[in-house]
Amino acid sequence: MSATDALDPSISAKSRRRLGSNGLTAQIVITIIAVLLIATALAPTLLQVFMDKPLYYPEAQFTLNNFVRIFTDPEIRATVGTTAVFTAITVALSMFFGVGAAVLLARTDMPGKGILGSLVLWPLYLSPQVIGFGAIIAYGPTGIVTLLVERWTGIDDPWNLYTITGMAVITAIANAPITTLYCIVSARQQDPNHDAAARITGAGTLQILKRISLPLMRPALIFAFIMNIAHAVETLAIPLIIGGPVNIDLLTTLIYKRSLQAGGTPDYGLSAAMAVMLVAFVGVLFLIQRLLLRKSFRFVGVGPKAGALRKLPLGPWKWAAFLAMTAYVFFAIVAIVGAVFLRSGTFIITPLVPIMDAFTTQNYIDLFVVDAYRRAILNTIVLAILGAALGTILIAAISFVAQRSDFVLRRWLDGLAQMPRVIPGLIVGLGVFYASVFVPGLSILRNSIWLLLIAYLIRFLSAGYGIVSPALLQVTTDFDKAAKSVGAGWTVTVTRVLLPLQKHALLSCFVLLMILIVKDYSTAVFLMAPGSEVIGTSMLSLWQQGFIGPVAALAVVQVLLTTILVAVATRLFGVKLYG
Amino acid sequence: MADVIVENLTRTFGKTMALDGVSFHVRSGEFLTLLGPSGCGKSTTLNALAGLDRPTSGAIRIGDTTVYDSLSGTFVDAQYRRLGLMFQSYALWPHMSVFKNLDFALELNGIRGKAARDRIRETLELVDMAEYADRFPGELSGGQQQRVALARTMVYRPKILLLDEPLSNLDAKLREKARLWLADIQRKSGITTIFVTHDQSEALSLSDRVIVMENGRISQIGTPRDVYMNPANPFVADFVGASNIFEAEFVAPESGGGRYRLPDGNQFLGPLPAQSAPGAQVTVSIRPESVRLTDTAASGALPCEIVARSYLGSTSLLVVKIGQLSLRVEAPANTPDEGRYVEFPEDAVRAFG
Repeated sequence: MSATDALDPSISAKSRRRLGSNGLTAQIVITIIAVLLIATALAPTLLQVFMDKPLYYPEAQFTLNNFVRIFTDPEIRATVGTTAVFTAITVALSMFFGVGAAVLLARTDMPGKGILGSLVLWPLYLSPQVIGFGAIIAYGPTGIVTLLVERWTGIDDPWNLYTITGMAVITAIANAPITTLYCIVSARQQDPNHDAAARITGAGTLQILKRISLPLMRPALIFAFIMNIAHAVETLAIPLIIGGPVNIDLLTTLIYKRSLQAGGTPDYGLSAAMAVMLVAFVGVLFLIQRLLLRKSFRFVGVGPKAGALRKLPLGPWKWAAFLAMTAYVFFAIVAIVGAVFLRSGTFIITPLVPIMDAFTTQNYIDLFVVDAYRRAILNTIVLAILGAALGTILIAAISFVAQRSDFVLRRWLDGLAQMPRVIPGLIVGLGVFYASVFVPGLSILRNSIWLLLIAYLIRFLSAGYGIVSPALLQVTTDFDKAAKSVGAGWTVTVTRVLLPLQKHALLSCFVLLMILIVKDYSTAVFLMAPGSEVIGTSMLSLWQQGFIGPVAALAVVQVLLTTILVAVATRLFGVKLYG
Repeated sequence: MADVIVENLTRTFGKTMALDGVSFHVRSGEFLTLLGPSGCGKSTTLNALAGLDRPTSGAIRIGDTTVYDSLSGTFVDAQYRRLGLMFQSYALWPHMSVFKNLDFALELNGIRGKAARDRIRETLELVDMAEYADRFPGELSGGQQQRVALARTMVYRPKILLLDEPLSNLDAKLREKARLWLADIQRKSGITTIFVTHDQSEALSLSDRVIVMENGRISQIGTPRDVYMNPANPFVADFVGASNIFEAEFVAPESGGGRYRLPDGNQFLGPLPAQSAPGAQVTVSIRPESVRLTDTAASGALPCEIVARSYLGSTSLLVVKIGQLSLRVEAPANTPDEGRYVEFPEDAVRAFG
């Protein structure tokens, strides 16, 4: 075989150019799209902060007054205090529930771990909104569980859900599973030899847990702790549903109210200032998280891992653990979701009326008959499919440019893709709403689901990137180099070599985006209008109008949609959605 | 076929100098090896040749094209160089069958249809893998993957072949077989080949010429025999063939060679050092297999004591002590322990001033 005929004259220069294109144009376009998206979410809010009137007023003047007002407005000052108390209780509880469940599930011989494990993680796929509604239906002043307890114990008003503590408990239930998940993953990755070494030195179960397992989980604990603070500060649905009727306001609900000032003029300047404050706070949190976790390699097991992690025996205590865990799962998850399901098939639930007498299919019939409900479901499905598809394409493209190109701005693009993590959904929605008012061409999208689509692309960019980017890091760059050495340009390398290798991660990303979009509400609250309702926003407005039945039915539809998606994705395609 | 000229190639990463003025010429059809420990700059050189990394300064010419020249600002990217690069990890695309791996390379070079199928069959036959065309990389053994990787780099008939430690992922026995096989394929195809390795036996057995590198510089260029027999400096002597290296004093010229003295007073004869006046300290090297153990105290023999031995089957590796000096000596397996002298054959001693 000789190498003399290296340049085959039959190849057209054109086909060679096409195959060999270095992709610079594509890389520039992808970067511009990413920049535009993030700018849409942030720029209008950042501009609005410095304006004394709504952005779109021609006579709006530069001002710093909005920042001054943040510190002088008595309502805001009170709200910051409430938010701090709420956050403290929520984080303490969700860490306790989350880490406790993780340790029991990952490290001990507690019975029933399979079923308890799946149930404990279920809220990952539930909207906090549904948990809030369920909490009121079950534990509200006229909730079914409340009434049953009153009946059995004879105590009137055994608890009051409509308090800061009540809100915090329910938010903690919604936030605990993500902590559990991170800690389980971390606990399972521990080197069994660490345990064995401690056992041989004479340590018992409790000592091993306290002195070896928990300290080794420290990076996961720090990660979860800070994420819990961020989630608590950002949360909107539960404070709105539970705190709203009794006028307990948090920063998020205040931004919401001030922007949609019922009856008065919306205070855009102050809302924007609060939004910026919130983003800055969450941004600083994630910065701290990064700094704290810089040395986390110290907690990574070194050397070969021998054998499987032994389950730590709890002895007779395993039954106590089992009972505690079962009680938690029953009261915090099954009762809440169950209340929603029950309510969707009845016109009332109360111990006073036998459940069969209250049975009705009207709530579900309404979903098909009432235009607004049907549209909400259809819009949600269309947005989930389109948003997940476009989002996955965008995320794949960004990850290829950020990690697998020589593009000058690639590092920067990588950072940009992680930015939406610090922007609460409410604020993404607010930004997109401002943009639609302010940017000339965008106003035609107002009141359509396309505006929502843009908001979702921004909002969930980081979540999808968080799946795709680590998966791409696992693919050796030798594959790219090999393609390059046989004559492939960037575009061909990416589409023919990397894209097929990323199939699994992209499928996971697609499913995760669908789930996130189906259960979203906070991004959409500022963007909903007749015609562009989604399940999340419809539930909120119906709830505020007192139509509990249709809300429950919509909630069931949302839960079924996400549960089916998760089941299909994980069982059929073996997709891993978290971790 | 093409020759390769590398001129004054330099590559810095921040403050570290990975390549420092490397120049060499690979003749058309030659098998040239870049040999050195990790971090010596051999892989940086290969990446520069392949076009995967842009050097800091210098020039590279392949055939009659300049692919890199810092003065004119020329840099041809890897995808346009039409070289064959084989990776240590093989980098076979796991989602494509063996056939598709080769076909994709041909597609990028504009070869389609029957011409492509013929070329693939022919190349797979060359590496004895024709019957595995439909398998996926994950279904092949390490040795088979290595053959397919070579086939993929050769299927579009590149001007030169760059091999980055292609044998290091094979077990010892397979590696020896693959070495013979690789030499055979290279001879049959006559393709200019640049091979990177840290394994001196691979370098010596495969190459027409060897370049030994250290700290981003070339220590020596020569035929395998040259490099082994006449190392240019103590580093080459040590890296190629693991010589004994020690300090001695050059006493005086004597009968065409020179007389040397060890710190403890023992003396021996060797060739003249390149440029040292009598009384100068020199570094001396001698290979373990060149040191002779005898029973008799002939003239020039130094008394020694065997302090350790490891049995290697056909031979034993002994550690002997001559006064203060410890030396490794390769000797017949059944060498007894007592009453020993060592002799340094004059032509086996190398002295570096």
